[in-house]
Parts: sequence; structure tokens; C-alpha cells
Amino acid sequence: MTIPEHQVRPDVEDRPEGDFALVQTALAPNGGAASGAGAVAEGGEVQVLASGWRLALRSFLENRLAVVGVVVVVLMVLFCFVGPLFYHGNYLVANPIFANQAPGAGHPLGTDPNGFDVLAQIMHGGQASLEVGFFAAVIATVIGTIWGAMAGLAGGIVDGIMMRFVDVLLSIPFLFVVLILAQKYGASIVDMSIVLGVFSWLVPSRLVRGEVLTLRVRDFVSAANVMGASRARVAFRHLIPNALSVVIVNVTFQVADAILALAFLGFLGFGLQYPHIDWGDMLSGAETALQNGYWWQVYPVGAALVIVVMAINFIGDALRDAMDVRLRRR
Amino acid sequence: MDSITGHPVPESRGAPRRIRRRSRWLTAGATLGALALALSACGSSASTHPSSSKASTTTTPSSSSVKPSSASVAGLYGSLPPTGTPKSGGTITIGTLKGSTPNYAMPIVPAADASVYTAYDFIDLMNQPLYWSPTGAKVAIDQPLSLADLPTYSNGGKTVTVQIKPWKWSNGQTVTANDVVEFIDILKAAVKESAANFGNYTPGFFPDNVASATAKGQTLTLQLTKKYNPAYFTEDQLGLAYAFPPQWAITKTGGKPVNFANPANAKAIYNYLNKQASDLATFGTNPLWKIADGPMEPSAFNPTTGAYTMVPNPDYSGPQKARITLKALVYTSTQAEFNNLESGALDIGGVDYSDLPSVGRIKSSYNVFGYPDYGWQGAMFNFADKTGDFNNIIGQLYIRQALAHLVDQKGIITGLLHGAGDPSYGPVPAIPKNPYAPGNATSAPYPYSLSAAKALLTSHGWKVVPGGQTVCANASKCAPNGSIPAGTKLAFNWQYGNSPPLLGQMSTAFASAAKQLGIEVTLQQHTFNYLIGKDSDPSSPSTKNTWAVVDFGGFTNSLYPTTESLFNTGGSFNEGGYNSSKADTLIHNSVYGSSASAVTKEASFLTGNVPVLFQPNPDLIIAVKKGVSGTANSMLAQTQYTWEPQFWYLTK
Repeated sequence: MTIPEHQVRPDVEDRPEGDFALVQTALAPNGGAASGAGAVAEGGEVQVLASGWRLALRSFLENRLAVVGVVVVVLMVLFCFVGPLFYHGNYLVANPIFANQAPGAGHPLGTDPNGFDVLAQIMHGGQASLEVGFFAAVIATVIGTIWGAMAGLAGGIVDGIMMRFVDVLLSIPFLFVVLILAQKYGASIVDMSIVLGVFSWLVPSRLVRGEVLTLRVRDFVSAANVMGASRARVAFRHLIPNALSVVIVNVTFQVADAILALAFLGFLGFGLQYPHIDWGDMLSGAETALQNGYWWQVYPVGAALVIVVMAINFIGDALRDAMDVRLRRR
Repeated sequence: MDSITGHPVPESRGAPRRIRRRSRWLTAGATLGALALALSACGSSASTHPSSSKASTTTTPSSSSVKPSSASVAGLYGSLPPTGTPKSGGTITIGTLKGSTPNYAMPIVPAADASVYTAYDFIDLMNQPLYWSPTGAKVAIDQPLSLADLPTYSNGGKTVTVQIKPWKWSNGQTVTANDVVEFIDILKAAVKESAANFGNYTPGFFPDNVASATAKGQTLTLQLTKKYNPAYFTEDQLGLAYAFPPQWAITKTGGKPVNFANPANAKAIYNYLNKQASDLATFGTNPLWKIADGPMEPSAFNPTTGAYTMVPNPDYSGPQKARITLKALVYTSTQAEFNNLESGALDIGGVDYSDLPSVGRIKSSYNVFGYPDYGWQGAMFNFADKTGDFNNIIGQLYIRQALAHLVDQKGIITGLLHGAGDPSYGPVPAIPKNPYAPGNATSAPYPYSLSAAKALLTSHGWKVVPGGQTVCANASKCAPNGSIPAGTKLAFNWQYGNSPPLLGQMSTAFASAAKQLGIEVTLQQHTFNYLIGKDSDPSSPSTKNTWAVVDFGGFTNSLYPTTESLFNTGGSFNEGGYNSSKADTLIHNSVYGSSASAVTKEASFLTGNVPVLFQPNPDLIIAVKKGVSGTANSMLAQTQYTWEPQFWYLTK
């Protein structure tokens, strides 16, 4: 975000330098610019200036799809985490005698081949999917942010080596590596989150590095350097906070990607194992289930997966628009 | 002995044994001793409707076949094709799966090619084994289809006399005892050159245990190196024998026959035949394979797809000459095969379990039936796994009994197999009907019962925490020798094959039952080849502490169902290192003793001793298009991986 220097709020001393305490100016009728927050410009009325975050929130809320996305995600979180408190369907005790039962009394969404209640499975599978998605995204973002910031700040040959390393890892098919690791280490939610997270930080690192490259030549960074700030302080106090908009937007997509990656793994049979369950695992027999007319084993969980991922993507898109001043008022 | 899906398996001793990957029936292979044809594409039928559930089915005897049809078949799933008036000629198409197509053309199948997919299904159409089995779905030598009469034993059991039937080769010559001697001599040369030249070879057993083979007309006399149980030697060892036509005793194309009794000549003959038998491009045209004593001859073979065409051998001397041309079609998946069944484009095909609920869609056009093959399905324990003291835990019989109580066979058959399976409690099942099944094969010695399992654990010092973690609370009770320390968790990993889904479903069902008693079962999915390669203490000792239980499918029994090589100490197929001196004694008696009931006693002990977690035997399900029929036995034989197309026909 590039904002004229005179728009920087001088009264926000705690904020990291360079975190442009965003203000919005209104041009006076005569074309003169307001000189500061709350000031009355000569010859015209000046609006109260809002902070950057508030503007971003306002922009976000103006995006209807984003609002829908938030509502959907909230509802899905409630469904997955609060729902089981009220609906006690069997997802742990196999009973093949009751396999593949159609939706009906006792099993609103039917049963699977082991006699597990599909609705309860969707709830608990959703827990796993959301938890893995969130944890994996956090892991990826933390690693990627630090790596990208370090590379961007260091520059030169260090930056080159670090980013070539990223390039090398990016050239390795993600699913190929994750499949192998998931096979060996992906037994639990934490394990799977780590497996997905440690191989998903490459894109965030590139984004953050790019942002840092633009930030590190800014005056406030130069000032910090002149004042003797250490590199770590510059990175963690000045650069990363100013790259947060990029990071936050990326987190949302990382969550969606991790949920999908877990679904892929589960679909291929490399996801979580009993007693855990994930949505992809529930879809692993989709072809057979549809062939046999067991639609309830496919469509509900498939819909849940699509809806959640789509909602998170809506949120991500809106966040990106909201935090990028160039896109804010398209 | 053999290999599975191209994966070499450590040599077995004694009877050939086939590992099978259940449900996909990738093991379409002949049971060894039986040497029957292998059916790779089997299928399954069965619908969810009660009418298709198992029942005692009576079939009408064929009005035209020489061979009488079987009567009632207890436990048959679905119904056999009704017999009709045979029409002469015509073509019957049969489905096979990609990867299960022939890649070798003569009976001395190398280990590398002895896959159950590829070994005998094709070869036995051309080459008649000395002893053919099963008889329909019955576990017995089919004497009318065998090349020799049953042997007689003399000289304390060390001399075997076999009368070869005067059948004809397709060139008009009579099959003689000398042709069997030719086979034995060439086989000896082959295994002397390399043990890997014969997939069914185990040092010390056939043909090593034949000190000499002599022929006089149609009489074959074998002098053995030691005395064997006659049933074992007849059904398992002689079941490996064939006759070779004199024209095969050559060392080069167009050469004249040489004296195969000379070991150097025998070696040269083998090398020549081996080269020819490996040349897929000439399977359909090589004149060597046109000299057959089996019911059919090859007429075309596609080396790219593996599809082939067999035509009747007009000189076949068996009870029924073939009337149809057989075309084996190749499919890339069971789903693709089922799709072709739905479209009516295939005459005979297999139906996978996953398609069972949809089988109603083809029932208007196909007769669908199924029956379990002769073997067992189960999850094998690793008695050498020291992780978490599992070796000491699983070494306790009461633990194995408790775990056996957690296998819900009825639930699996009803829910997962859609009724297409039968209970199985030991290495010798009650179904298919066989003379060796012990008394405890017919009723569950350890029926599904969480309370019974809990009682066993509790009475042996375990603190059972349902839904939590069960631990050993009293070391002196958990193991008499104190090898299970107090506080030891009852927890282990369970590795299962990724295909078919049935394996995962059964594994989940078990883990679920175990969890209710606080037994932590960590499920891990792997490929079939991984499991066969890594989860085997004899062949992969370095990984013996990485797995506790493995479920890759099961084994198809030899006609004489001794578990020699499987459950004897040091057996090459003893994947988990099961060790029981009593079992060793009983197995030894089965192989070398003289009692006809020895193998039954062996099976009875093993059924009670739970060397593996026995699971239900799924049916092998076949769909036969209406308008195609055959004798009941020839139809039932398909469920035992055996093709008898000489009895198949199109109806008028």
C-alpha cells in the first residue's frame, strides 16, 4: 500500500513504523488536501478519517460473497464442533449388519459400509478437516513468512540461495511428497497438519519475500537501520507486520488448500485412519457408492467439502480486495 | 513357490501355495496341486435381495454332457446357469483383468512368471496335468479329467506306480508314461540349473524327491527318496506333474528329438523350451504349443494386451471335446468388466464385491453365482514384533482367543460381502466341501463376543478400559513367565492392503470392536506388494519390528491342505513366525506320516490355536450370460479359479 507521506497519522506512536496508519483524505472543493486527521481544511469540509483496518473491514463487509462465506464457515464450525453435542450418531462402533442403510429414522443421512452414521461422520470428519486446514495453514504461513522475510531482507546471494531452494521444492510435485509422508507419518490430525504444513510454505514465502523487497527500501526501514536496529528487529518489528495483509490473505487460501489436500489424501486412502475420519476418506468409495445408488454416502459430504472450501475462498478473495488499496474500490 | 501379481514370494516347501488378494481375486490361479486353470477375472454376483442369498441349490443334470452335473450345492450364492441343448460351435468370451494375462506357455513355469494371474489358466487349457482338481467346487481329484489313474504305493510307500491313460496328443500320438518321464527329466534339469526356473519348486521336494522315474508302456514307476503320506504325495506332489510330447525334446527349432534322459540334453531342451515359452508374440503360432493333450489349442494371442483365442483340440481324449472357441478379453478394471456385463458384451465375467449391490441390473441377462474357493482369509500376527512387547503379548493363547472373539464374521458376511461369503475358522474351511475339514471348522470356536473377550483379558490380569487404554495390571497373570510387564498397553498396529476396499472395511470393523475394549489398534494402509515384501519375517527380517498384524487377503490351499511352509517353524510362508512344537509335529505327520486323518488333526489344532485371525471366506462370483451354459461342475469350477471350457456351450 502506498500512501502519501502526509497522510500518515503522526499520533499513533505504538504502531510500527511504516505501518501506514491509514487515513483517507477528502479533497477540498478547491482541490486542496486536508492536512491531517480532524483538521478543517481551508475552503472545505473534511471527513473523519478512518483507520486502514477499518477501511479494510468496511470494504470486506461490502462484499456480499465474503459475508456469505463468513456465515457459512461459522455455521459449519458450529455444525462440526457443536453439532455432536446434540446429535450423538454412531461413528465409532462398526456394525456391518446395518451397512449402507438409506436415510431414515435414526440415520438422517444413512449409514456407510461399516454401519457408521453418515451425519455423525460428516460432523467429526469436518472437525478433522477444519482442524487440519487451520493448523496446516498456520504452520505453512509461519514458516513461509519467516523464510520469505529473511530472504527478502538479506538480499544478495543469501536471498538467491534461499529462493532457489524454494524453487527446487516447488518443482517437486506436492501430492507426491505428501502422499509418501502421509503414508508414514499421517496417522493423527497433528501429524497430518505437520505433513501438509511443512510442504505448503513455499508460496507464502515467495509472497512475503516479494512484499519485503518493496518494504525494505522504504524510509522507515532505512531509519530503523540507521538507528541501529538489528536485522531481526527490522524483520519482526517492521517488515513482517507491514506484510501482514499479504499473509492474512494467504492464510485463508492456505486453509482451503489444506482442506482440499487432506481430502485428496483421504480419497486416495492416505488420509486419517480410524478412529479419525476426514471428508476425503468418506469420499474414497464414491464411485462404488454412486454405482450402487448409495448417494447419501457421497453428495452430503461432497457438498460440505465444496461449500466450506468455496466459502473460505470467498473470504480470501474479499480480504485480498479489502487489504489492497488498489483493489479496494474497484 | 509362487509369486503374486508378479511379486516374487519366498520359496515354499512342499505343496505349492497361493497367496491371494481377496475379492479382487487377483490370484486367479490354480490351486496347485490341483493344477486347475486359473480364473483371473472372477466375479461375484449376488444382490442384496433375499432371493440371491446363499441357499442350497439344486441343479438339473445336463442332458448332453458326458460328465454328470453336480447335485445340490450347499452354500452356493445365486444360481447356476440352467442346462440347455448344446449348440455346436460358436464363441464364448470371458473376461480377464489386465495384469492377469498369460506370459508363459509351458508347465515348467519360472518363479518370475508363476503369478497366479498368469501361470496356469492359459497353460492348462493346452496341457493336461496328471491329476486334475477340483471336481466342480468339491475338493477332490476329478478322475475323468485326469491324465492318469490314481497311483498305488508299495515298498513301504517309497515306490509309486501310476497308470497313464492312453489319451492322444493332438498330432495323433498316444500319451505314454515315457512322456511323463520326459517332463520329470526336463524339470530336474531346469531346477538344477536354477531353483527359480520352477516357481513351485522347493529343494528336497518334487522333483528332488523322485530318485528315479521309469516307464513301461502306460505304466510309470517312481522311486521316492523317502516315504510320504500318500495323500500328500498324490494330491500335492504329483499334482505338479504333466506329460511332455516327444516332439518337445528338441534343442533348436526344426531339430530332431534328442535323448532327454541325458542330463546335458535335458538342460538344452529346457533352455530351448524356456525361450520359446517366453516369447509372447508366438504364443498363438508356435507349432510346439499346437501339440496338446488338453482340450484346447491356441489360435491367436495379442502380446500387447494379453488377449487370446483358443480353439478346440479335435484329438482331445477327455470325456468331452470342446465345442466352442474361447476368447479371453482383457479389462483394465473390475468396473470396466462390469460395465461390459451391463452392456451384454461379455459372455462370462467376474463381479467384484463392490458391484454386488448393482448386480440386479444384469440379472435379466446373466446367471450369477458364487462360491468360496478352497482356502482361508485372515490377518496374520507377527510373533516376532518386539514393539510394545507385542511378541510376548501375542504369544499368549488367551490373547489370540480374545482377539478372535472380536471378528464379527456374521456381520462381515452380511454387511460387507452382501451375503456372498461363508464363515471360516481355520486353515481348512468347511465350505467348499472337502474331506479334511475338522469338526471345529463348522462352528465358531471363538464367536463374536465382546464380553467373552473382556472376560478372557480380565481373568488374565488386564485392566480393561472400554474406549480407553487397556493395560496389564498383573504381570504374573498376563504372562506366566512375567514377560508382559505391568502397565504394558494392549496396543498394536495393523497393516492392511489398499485393495480391495473390503480389507479396509474389515480392518476398521476389527479396530472398532477392539476400541470398545480399550485395545488400541492403529490402522495403516499399504499396497499389496508392500505388505508381501515387508510384512514377512522370513523374507524381510529387518522389518519384523515394524508390523504387528497384516491383512493382505489369504491363501488358497493345496488340494491336500497341510500348512507345511505356512505354520511350521521356519516355514517360508510363515510370515509372522508362528511357532508351536505341537503344530510342527502335526504338520510333519501330515507330510510324512501314514495316517489319512493327519491333516485333519493338524487343521483342528490350528483352528483352536489361532495362528492368525481367521476371517470369512468371500465368494468368487461369476456372471454367465443367458444362452451360455455348461455342466454344473464346469460352472462351479470357475469359483475355484478353474476353467473347463470343454464343457461349456451355447444353447439352442
